[in-house]
Amino acid sequence: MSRRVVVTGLGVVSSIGSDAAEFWSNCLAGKSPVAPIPEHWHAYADYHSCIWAALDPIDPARFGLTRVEMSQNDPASLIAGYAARQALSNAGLEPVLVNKRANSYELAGVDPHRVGVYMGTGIGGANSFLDNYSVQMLSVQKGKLAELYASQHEDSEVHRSLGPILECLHHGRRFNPFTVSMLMPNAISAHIGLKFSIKGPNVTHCVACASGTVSIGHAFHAVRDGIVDFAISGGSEYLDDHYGGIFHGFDIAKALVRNCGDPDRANRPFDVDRSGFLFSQGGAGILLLEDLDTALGRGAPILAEVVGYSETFDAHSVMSIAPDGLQIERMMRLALHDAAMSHTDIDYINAHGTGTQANDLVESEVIERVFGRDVLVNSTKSLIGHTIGASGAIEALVTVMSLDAQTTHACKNLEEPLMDLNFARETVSRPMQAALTQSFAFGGHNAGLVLKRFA
Amino acid sequence: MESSENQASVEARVLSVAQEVLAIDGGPPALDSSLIEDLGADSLDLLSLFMALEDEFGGTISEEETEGMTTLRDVVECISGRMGEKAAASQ
Repeated sequence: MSRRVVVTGLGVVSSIGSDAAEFWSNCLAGKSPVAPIPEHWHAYADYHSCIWAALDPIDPARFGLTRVEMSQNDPASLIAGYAARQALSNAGLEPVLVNKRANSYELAGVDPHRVGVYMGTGIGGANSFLDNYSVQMLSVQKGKLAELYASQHEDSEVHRSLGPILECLHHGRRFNPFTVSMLMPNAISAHIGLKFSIKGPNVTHCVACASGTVSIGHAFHAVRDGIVDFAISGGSEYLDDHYGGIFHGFDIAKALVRNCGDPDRANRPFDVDRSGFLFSQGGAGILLLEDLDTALGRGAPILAEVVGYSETFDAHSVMSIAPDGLQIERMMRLALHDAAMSHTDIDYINAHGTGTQANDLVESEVIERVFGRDVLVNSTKSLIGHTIGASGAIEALVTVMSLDAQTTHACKNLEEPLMDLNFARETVSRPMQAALTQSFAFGGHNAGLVLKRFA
Repeated sequence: MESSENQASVEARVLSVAQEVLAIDGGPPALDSSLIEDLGADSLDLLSLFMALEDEFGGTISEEETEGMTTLRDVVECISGRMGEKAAASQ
């Protein structure tokens, strides 16, 4: 069985908007919310980078969350659930409340066995793991230190020294009894399945920065092959912890943007002066994929068609991209083959475009080898930074919206391109029939999706 | 007087938290409601309820304490007693 697969719903949580329309409007306006990293992180380490793209705090009223859900789910699950809710709603599948205590829903008129959930994440519930690990590690020992502090005269050296140390030793009030189910990476897809009473395949892809793209690719194949009729697919990531340790991990690997003295111009994918990627606090992107006949039968809005997917592996280095780009090139050609398309059919590439020296050079060279210099190229990471496991999904969403609007956002801060490719230097409106969106990941994973304007 | 006011306040807050966490329709549950039989709470619901009560009143409720609670009245008495001890200690 081989069926046509279309995108009928979009959902997003990002640093520039938490609904698709607001997000897209801010993409076209070139908004990029660069901010200093939290001040207290400087108490724990020295960093090369000092900026990030922060999310708004989760608003339980807006996200429709109960206090129980807020206390028993990692933020990566909560934002994914909200993005999924958006995608279902704007696909015309308004969820109906079926269990008030669990705050769970059903999709009216849809067989739950014919719906799948395919989600990607790089680090899953690391925020919950680290929060609870802090309690495990510090609560007893900090209590002892606090007793010592209280027993000392306030003019004493011990008292003066211990005060600032105690302030730095932060931990939560309790070890959460739901820690395990919060930190496991599959909690994100499970949360969506539970929230909407979905009983088809429910899987999580942990493929670092390619997680979102891989998940949508596997969802595409599942709908195309008749395994499911609907697929909630995408990625979610929450890259924050009290001590800034997650940020430190990327920073010490020298992956993050350096020239922070001019924060608004620091993040510059594909520019000769690029210095690394802008770290994002996180985000979520969801594409609702649907069998074309099902979508037409229920009069669903059709935003784009997914026509091809492929993935390859470098087998070169766990941390760096293979300089020859041969497996990226093979991934691109396999994706075109899967789509039964030629390289000349692709009008636009939403690039991985991180802003690191190595990625942007190799990616540009391979684009030129496979597609030549005319294909339009931009990087959504030039606006919102790198959301790791969510990035591929958010970029697929941008690709869908670009095909639907026949407009692409600018590659922000691109002043002197590293190569003579057709980079979108400003918001560009032009006819686009097909596009490629691609992701490359730590480990050596490459994945790409081919999307087509629906006609 | 102050003590009975505190008791009433604790009672209202416990019932409100129970109503919210257990998603009870039609107003706050009765004080003598059984957590399991009347309110239909399973073990995970009880964990959720005690976590929410810890957030509401501060401190932690131990497993030993929760094992002795079968009704909302038991919960109110536990928390009131604890608050009374805390007030006495601070005097």
